[in-house]
Amino acid sequence: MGVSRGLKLSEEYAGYVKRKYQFILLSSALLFAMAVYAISVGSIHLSVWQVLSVLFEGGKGTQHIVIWNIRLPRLLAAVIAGAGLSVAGSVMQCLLKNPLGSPYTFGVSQGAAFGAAFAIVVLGAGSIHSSSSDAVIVNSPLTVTGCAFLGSVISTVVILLLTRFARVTPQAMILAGVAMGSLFTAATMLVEYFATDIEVASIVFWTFGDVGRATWRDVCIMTIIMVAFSLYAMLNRWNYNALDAGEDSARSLGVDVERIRIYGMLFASLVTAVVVAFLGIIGFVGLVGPHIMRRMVGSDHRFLIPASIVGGSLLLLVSDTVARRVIAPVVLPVGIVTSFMGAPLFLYILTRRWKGI
Amino acid sequence: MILYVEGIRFGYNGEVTLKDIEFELKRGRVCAILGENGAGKTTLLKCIDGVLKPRVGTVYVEKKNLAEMSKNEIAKYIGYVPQRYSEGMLTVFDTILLGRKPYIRWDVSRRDIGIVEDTIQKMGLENISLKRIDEISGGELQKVIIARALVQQPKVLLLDEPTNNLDIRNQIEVMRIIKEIVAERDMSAVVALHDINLAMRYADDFLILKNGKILSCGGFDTITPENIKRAYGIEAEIVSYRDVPLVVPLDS
Repeated sequence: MGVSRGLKLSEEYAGYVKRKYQFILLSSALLFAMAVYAISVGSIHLSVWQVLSVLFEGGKGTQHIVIWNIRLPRLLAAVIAGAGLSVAGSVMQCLLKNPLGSPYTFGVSQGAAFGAAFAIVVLGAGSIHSSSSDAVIVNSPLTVTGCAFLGSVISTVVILLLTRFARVTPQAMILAGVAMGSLFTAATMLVEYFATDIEVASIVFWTFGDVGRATWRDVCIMTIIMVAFSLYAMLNRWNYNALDAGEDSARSLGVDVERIRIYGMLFASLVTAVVVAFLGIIGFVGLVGPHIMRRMVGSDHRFLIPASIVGGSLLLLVSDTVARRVIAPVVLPVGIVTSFMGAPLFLYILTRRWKGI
Repeated sequence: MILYVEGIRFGYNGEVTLKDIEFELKRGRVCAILGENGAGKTTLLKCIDGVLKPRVGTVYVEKKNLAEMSKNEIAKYIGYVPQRYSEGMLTVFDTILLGRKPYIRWDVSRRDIGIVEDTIQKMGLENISLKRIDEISGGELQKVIIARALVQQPKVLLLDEPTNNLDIRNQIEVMRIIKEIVAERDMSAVVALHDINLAMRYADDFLILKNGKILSCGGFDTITPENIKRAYGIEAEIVSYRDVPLVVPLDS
């Protein structure tokens, strides 16, 4: 990939940067197409034109209700949660220099799930109606999200302390994540043990991870947090690039390494907590999304962060569409699909290292 | 005077690594820091750059106290080339562009790109500019990291054993580049080196460390058989070959 003769170095570089942005733009177009498809398929099939006309021209009747009350919140929940988890994953992978890092593999999601379950059952911040998947209704999003955040922060702090003081290897860090995940799963089981049969069944369903239960209010809260986090990550993209070059290099380039690491991890935990509080645990999106995009656009966070936003959205949207269609009319929770897809990839990354991934 | 290091004292976990280090460096000079492994060379460079915070002491660049500056500001005054470079996976161009980080607000400017372009040409890296840094040779990587420090447009360049793991041709080339740049840009460089002969050939000033203290400091007259014996514990003779002083270790 040398510089062609006659072309100025800066022009060659501008072309290189342009190609990266073109890829992100193309992926965004693919995401839009996938979104239209996802809205149109289901028990009531709608054509692309019907979807577009209901979306942009309004209208009444069944189609309007199906799209605006059922499919659109579901679609947006998948897009926002996928983007949030994926950016959280790419930031965590950089901050802890760990290719296996993600909210799920660090036990952050499980911590958040425990916090949310605790808030719903013990603090009564949610109501439980029956044992179906949408049986848990979050009445107090602030309490549930707050408790989920506290749970996720415990895992984050443990991982940060291990990095700071024990200087553990990336693989050992994942083992610590497994330990934290198990601890919080056990804690969630403890909450369930003292709950009624219906409560137990609903919490189990709830932890599966399902974008179908999101209301417009949930979508709005997730969007605000996700957009804020994405902007924060973009603002720090040069700091993240500097961190990839090593801590000493980053410090000499003016990066406050400790501050960037702590703030980034806490913000990523908050995004995870909000997603888990409303949708349950959706594993591996935060791992797979950034990895696929790293292959496509490289490790430069100027491109990796926006690409992860699009990639994570696309990944969760495709997974959810598969979950809805694979054994239709039964709709599977998307968390099951992402885990089936993510676990083999996790093993693949484990056998390789950061390089070449 | 471009750099003044005043009474630096630093320690890890209660152990004192650097004791009362005090020296100054004039503009346009290359200063070699010599000393055995563990003498405190790397620690001293990190303390000057503010990567490590000294317990006591102050560093002044152009009479400005670095302790009163933000991290970003310090990066405009001091460029640091670490001994080991981590696994970054950026292209050569992007890695060098990273050196403009202290100046970037939201995105890179045309000026940033222009500075990087000029430096790439100066260092002869045009043909690998869009290669990833894990695809280039050790010598090329060292030049890339020096280039990254240079685009910071610092007043003082700190280099930690920049010739490690390089073949003799690359060792000479890297030292020659450092010497040329220091003269051209009217800046100064502090270079930690293992090879005394390389230091003798390219440095103007010498600072010999022993157990975290300055053993000796000054011009060529600092490099004496006595000081080499005290610093490294070996007998050596200094001979002149084509008017170039050479340190020849003796079997004892």
